[in-house]
Amino acid sequence: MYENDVDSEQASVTYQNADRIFKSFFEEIGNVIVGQKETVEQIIIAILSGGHVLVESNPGLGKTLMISTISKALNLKFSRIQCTPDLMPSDITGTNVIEEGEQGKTFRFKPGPVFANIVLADEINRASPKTQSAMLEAMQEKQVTVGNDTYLLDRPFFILATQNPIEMEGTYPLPEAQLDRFLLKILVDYPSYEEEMEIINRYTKSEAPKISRGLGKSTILELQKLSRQVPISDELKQRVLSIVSMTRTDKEHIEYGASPRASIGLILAAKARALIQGRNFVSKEDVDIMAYPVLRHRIILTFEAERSGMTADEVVKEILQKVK
Amino acid sequence: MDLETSIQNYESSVRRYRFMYIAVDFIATFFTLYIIFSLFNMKDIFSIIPTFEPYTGKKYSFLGFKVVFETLVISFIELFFAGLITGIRYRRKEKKGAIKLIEEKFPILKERLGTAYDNRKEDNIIVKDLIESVGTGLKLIKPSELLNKKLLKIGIAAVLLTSLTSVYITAQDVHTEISPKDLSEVIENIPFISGNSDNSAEEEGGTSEDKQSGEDIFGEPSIIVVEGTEVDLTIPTGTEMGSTSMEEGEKRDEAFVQSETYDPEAIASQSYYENLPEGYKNVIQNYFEELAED
Repeated sequence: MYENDVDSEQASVTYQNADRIFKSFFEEIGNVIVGQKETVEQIIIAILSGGHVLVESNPGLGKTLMISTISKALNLKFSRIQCTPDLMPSDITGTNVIEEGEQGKTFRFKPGPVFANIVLADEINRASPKTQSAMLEAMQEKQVTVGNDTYLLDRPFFILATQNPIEMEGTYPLPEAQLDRFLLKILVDYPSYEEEMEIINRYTKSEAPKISRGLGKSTILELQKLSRQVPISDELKQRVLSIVSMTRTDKEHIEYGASPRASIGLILAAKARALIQGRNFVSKEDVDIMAYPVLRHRIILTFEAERSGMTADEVVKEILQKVK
Repeated sequence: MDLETSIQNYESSVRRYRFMYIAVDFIATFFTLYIIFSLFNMKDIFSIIPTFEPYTGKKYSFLGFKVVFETLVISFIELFFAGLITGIRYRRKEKKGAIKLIEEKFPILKERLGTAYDNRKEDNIIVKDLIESVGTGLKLIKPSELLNKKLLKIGIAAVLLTSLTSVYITAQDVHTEISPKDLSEVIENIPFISGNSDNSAEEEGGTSEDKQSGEDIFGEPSIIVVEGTEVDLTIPTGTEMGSTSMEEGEKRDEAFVQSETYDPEAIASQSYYENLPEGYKNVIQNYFEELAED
């Protein structure tokens, strides 16, 4: 019931029209979201790769608007979870409720908000570790187990979690194991002066801009399948491995390097980017650009590196320059 | 023609071109070494090496030609070093395959050709599309376009220049005054390398085995301790006791004195009549004159 089930002829048609599909999709998003093209592109890359995204930004930068707009543009079911310390795992996964019927009292599973195609876990670091780990199975296995029953999640399934880099009091930083399950970590910066002017122009009118047309679930599944079919050269595969393995050997700046999941993630993300860019092959540029969001949350800097004010992105940049 | 066959054709052309570059480089290096060896009279090296000295000047038959020993061996040495230098240079150089060369020369195929070739066994719509577009591009590229004409021209020019110079210096017998013999003389003058160092030490009155302090000439201890006091038993020279290291009297100059030179030509013996005893001169003279007449 996954990508393989998609008809290959249909995929062929989608491939022929991929350029047009992406162009109209990004235009549609651009009607609602001002700027942030790179962020939107990276979210779509994660969706096409079947991964999840952790977005880190200051409050008020339009994360919720962005993800809800993307879900509308993709015609997918969207749900939002506002994470708080008292949020229970069952609040996310759902729970069995007693229902009275003709046959007496029976248990009926009431699905939680995780049963959607796109889930926004807002301020995930405010949820307790128990609740955070309830999302692990959903993220990795794309299924939920409640009691003795396992429920498959609908495809495509995508979690976009956000966290706030400030106000760290009363938060539970995500453990490394859970961070590794996010394909990308996207940093959203403040808009430029011109972009902010456009934002206030659009959102101070009587009617806020809306999405008028969407892609559809089947098109997304076809694009997911096509994304994995984009060829990559052996040379670039070696480059990806060199980049990831260097995160493990650069003991000067990195205490813990990236896992093999990072190598897989980097190749999948590069493939998806190539497809979005309208190319039928992965280029070095795809690998280099995607290395930042794929690796920045997977490496732990040494105390000396952090003390000297280095960021994970600077370390990744150094690695990219070193790897030939 | 499928992608794999096309690439194999390009690869064989690239190998052929690479052999040409190496051959031209090898020939130019050989002639350069020939010029250097000729200018610095490297043939003289055999006359200072005792092992080869007996063979110098002898002629040996090589490929139907009579070649002097020195010329023959020097030529082999030049060939060996030319091969070594060329080998090292090309070993260090990155060996670019046909795919890399095509991608460099035709940027439109950059990354695409390599990706298409690596994924040629994949069967999906995107790979097929890529291989098809790459194949169209490859049709326009002739294998001869991968030949680095500039590099080949430079190589051929170097071969011509060095070969003509070699012919000139051979015909005109051009060479410098520097010779390996000079090096031999320099080596002989270096202390501790030549045999002079030992002699000089002995001339200065020393021996090869230094005496330990407190030992006499026989190596026996010359200091004894009597009731806690050290007593030196060494007999100083000139005390009329024991032997001295040198006999008294005038120093004999035992240095080699060369005899006077003389004319090596034959000297005729004196005529018989020049030293005849007085009183018998006429008798003896007559005797020999009569004897001569008979």
